[in-house]
Amino acid sequence: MAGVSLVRVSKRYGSLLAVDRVSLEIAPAEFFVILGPAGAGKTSILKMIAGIEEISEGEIRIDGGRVDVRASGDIDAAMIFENYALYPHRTVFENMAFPLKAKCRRGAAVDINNRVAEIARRLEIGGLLERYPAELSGGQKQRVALGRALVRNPRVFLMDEPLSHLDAKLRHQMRRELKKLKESLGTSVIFVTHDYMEALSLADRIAVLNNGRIVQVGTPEEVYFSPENTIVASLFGQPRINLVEGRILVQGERIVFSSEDGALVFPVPLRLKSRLESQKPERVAAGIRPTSVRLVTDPPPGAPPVENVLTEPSGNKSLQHVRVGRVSLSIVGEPAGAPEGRDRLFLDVAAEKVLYFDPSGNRIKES
Amino acid sequence: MPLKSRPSRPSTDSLFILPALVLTIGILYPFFLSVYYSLTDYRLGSAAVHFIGLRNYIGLFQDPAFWKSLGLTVGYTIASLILQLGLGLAGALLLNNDVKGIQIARSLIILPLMMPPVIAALMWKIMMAPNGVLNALLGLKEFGWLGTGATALPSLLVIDSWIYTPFVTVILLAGLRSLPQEPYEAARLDGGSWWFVFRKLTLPMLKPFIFVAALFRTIDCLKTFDIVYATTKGGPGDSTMLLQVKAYFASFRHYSMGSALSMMLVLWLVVFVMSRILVKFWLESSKSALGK
Amino acid sequence: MTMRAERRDLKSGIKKAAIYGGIALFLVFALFPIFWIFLTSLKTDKDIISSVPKFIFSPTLRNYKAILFGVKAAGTETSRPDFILYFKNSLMITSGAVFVSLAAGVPAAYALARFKFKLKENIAFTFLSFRFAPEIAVIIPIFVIYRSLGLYNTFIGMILVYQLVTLPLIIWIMRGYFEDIPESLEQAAKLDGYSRFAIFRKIALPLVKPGLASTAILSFIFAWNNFIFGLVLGAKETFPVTVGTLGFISYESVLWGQMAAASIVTILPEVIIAFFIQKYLVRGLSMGAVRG
Repeated sequence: MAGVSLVRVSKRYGSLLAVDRVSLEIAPAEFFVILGPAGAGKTSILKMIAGIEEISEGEIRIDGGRVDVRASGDIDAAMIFENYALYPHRTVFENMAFPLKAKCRRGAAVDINNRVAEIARRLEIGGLLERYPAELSGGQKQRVALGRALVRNPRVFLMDEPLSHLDAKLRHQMRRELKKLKESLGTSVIFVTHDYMEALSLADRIAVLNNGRIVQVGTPEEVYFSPENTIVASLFGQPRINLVEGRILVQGERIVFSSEDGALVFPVPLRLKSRLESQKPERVAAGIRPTSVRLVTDPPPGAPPVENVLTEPSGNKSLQHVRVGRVSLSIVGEPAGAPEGRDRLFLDVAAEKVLYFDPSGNRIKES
Repeated sequence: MPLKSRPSRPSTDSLFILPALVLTIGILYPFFLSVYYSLTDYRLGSAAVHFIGLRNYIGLFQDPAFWKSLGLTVGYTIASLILQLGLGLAGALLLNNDVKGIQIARSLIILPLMMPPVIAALMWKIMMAPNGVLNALLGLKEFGWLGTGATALPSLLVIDSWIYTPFVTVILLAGLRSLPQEPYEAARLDGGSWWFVFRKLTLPMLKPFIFVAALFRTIDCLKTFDIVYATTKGGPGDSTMLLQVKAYFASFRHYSMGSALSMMLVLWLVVFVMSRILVKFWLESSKSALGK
Repeated sequence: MTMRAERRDLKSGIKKAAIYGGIALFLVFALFPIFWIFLTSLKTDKDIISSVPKFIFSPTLRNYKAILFGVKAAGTETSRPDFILYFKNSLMITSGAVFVSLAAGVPAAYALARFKFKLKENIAFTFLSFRFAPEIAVIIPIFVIYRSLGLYNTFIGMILVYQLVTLPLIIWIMRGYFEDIPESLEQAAKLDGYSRFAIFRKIALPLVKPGLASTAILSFIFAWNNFIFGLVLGAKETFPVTVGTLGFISYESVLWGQMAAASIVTILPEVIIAFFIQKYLVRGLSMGAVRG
């Protein structure tokens, strides 16, 4: 049970700054996800915590004690690698027993056989103990890697995109199992991924990383509904949030958003009214989630007509791509697709749910 | 904040490389001694050693025998390269077909390479004797291939090629087998002739391997010793007196170590320069073969 | 069958015949000398020096008996009974040299593959540079040093010099094999608390076993084939078999038959081994420049 803190940690590879003064506080027993695109620096951070990489600047502490100056073996963190890193020349049993046989752990009285058997049972790989990694499937290898990390009862679990090499179905299944495990573990987990759905489903809190910098840290709700900027907003959601360039107009009592060409106009949310009224930014981007807009045949006043409706059925929902004036939008709607008939279709925006971003990409919040 | 680095165990870490390093220094010391001796008038058995600067080298460059030897060595190397790269490529192309029994052929072709060059040279010496089987097969009577001035060096070339063409073949075959198949499938669809495909596709992609083979063959040919010593010992006359052979006799027949070493250091320089050039070609061709 | 199909079959048939023909040509050229020497080793000296080389004759094992068991057993007039001694010498020197090179070279190769330290590539290049140097350049100073240290004509002396042949090879090839291991394996072990040396012993070494075996065998072959070091730095007690075989040629007579038999016995181990390492040959021959 240990909390992990990173204090202004940086990592340089030659002249490349891969990690830029990252500071994080991870609570004990928290499932913490670091989310970011490839190359964002996530794996470097994990490796620095594990002691596999040297830190260029800053400090890392586990349970209050500095670990960036200690040897990997002393840190008491376990890591699951992206391609599992199982020892190919050893059986599953030997792979899982390996951490327990290290010299530094010899002293502790642990019955290796029992411990491995118990963990294997929990992960349902008891029957595979005599096999070699080459004979296992992806999902099985993943569990062995998990088992190898579990036998040590470490203070911190580090997971480097462990699910990315599994096929979609297996990935969902493993996600459920990780969630179950998370409850029973009680240890801090630092989980790195580029898949936002994994992040939303597993995390207690998420840190969004981009170009080596922390962009936002928050709960899944916070990062989805209250993204700090367009980067975070674009990261979550499939299809991506619709970002429409435009400006704020005052029409008498009403304050509205208008797209560049004026084709798309709708009122701003009440909560932002005063903020946008007083400090009126000329240009803004409106973030319209594909789920916050729909097509109707019977439009409310002011709803613009749409053109070029392209429908992509996708099982339990359907994607529609439409145009309003010069603006392209993606809409996620009911499986029935566009409303029946040859009637004209109109865009109905749930104006209260729209997010607004200033020209530098930061979200405009109520003051 | 002061930056501390993680504790490793420098003592055990350096142990990894220490033994090899010790051996290396043990070998480097003689190298430096060579350079020193080449600047002296050291003769084996004489107690007096005097520093004479570059006199050995000057003497060397004024000695027509040296230039002849150098010329023979370089010429021999170039001829070897041409012959062995050509034949080796042909062999590799032939062995690159998955016909029945090809595995056995590939294993057999390397046998000449596996035996000591001295032994191979002795074998050919027996075959090239005036009453040897070579003459019998060619229908010649009593011709001494290794004993006749004009044919001695070419005969050594034949022996050298017999031993080392398989080397080139093995390397080029590995290269051929590592080439991606897609460009060939595309070319076949486009209907290119075999020669066209070979020139435009195979050869450029094979270049790195050709240069690797050329590198090692150049180095070894410039240093030829075993084959010559086992057969002609530099003769007849000095028609096969390649540089390293000459240096051997200078040291252990005439005992003039100083001048022998100056010869060797010149040779070393030649080897070094040729290697640098070939390595450069190799690196360039590697990059372009990968399309960078 | 259509005309086109028939023509296609004919074309591929001709192609196949050409391929087989070409390969046969190469194989005949490569294997004939070995075959001929084998025949020679079974001939009496009278048969050998006959003016017309004989393909048909009555074979005898006399030559083999002579070199293995000495004059009396063979009933020949003269022989050099030292062949067994030279064979033993080769065995000792070669095995010893390979053993030392493995002990020093494998950890060094691992260090070059995994450690980060200053001058790493300089040191690596130094190991490689021994391949370029003309042997005489090194031999002369070593000759002088050995005589003064009493290492001339000793096994230890030979084993040390042979490092020039075996050490660079082992370091450069094994470095490649170590680099092929995914780093994450070693990182996982590091995280589990294993020391560098423990990781080397338990993870890295087991994973390079096949490469290690083939490299050891290849360096054995190169060391076995060496001639010049034994020639200069050894004497009767330490001559390897390569030098010993030349001893069949003397001013009085050339014992062709025994020389042939000695050649066959000398190359026999290598020929057998070559079959087994054929797969790993490319990496070894090119010092790791070509993956294979």
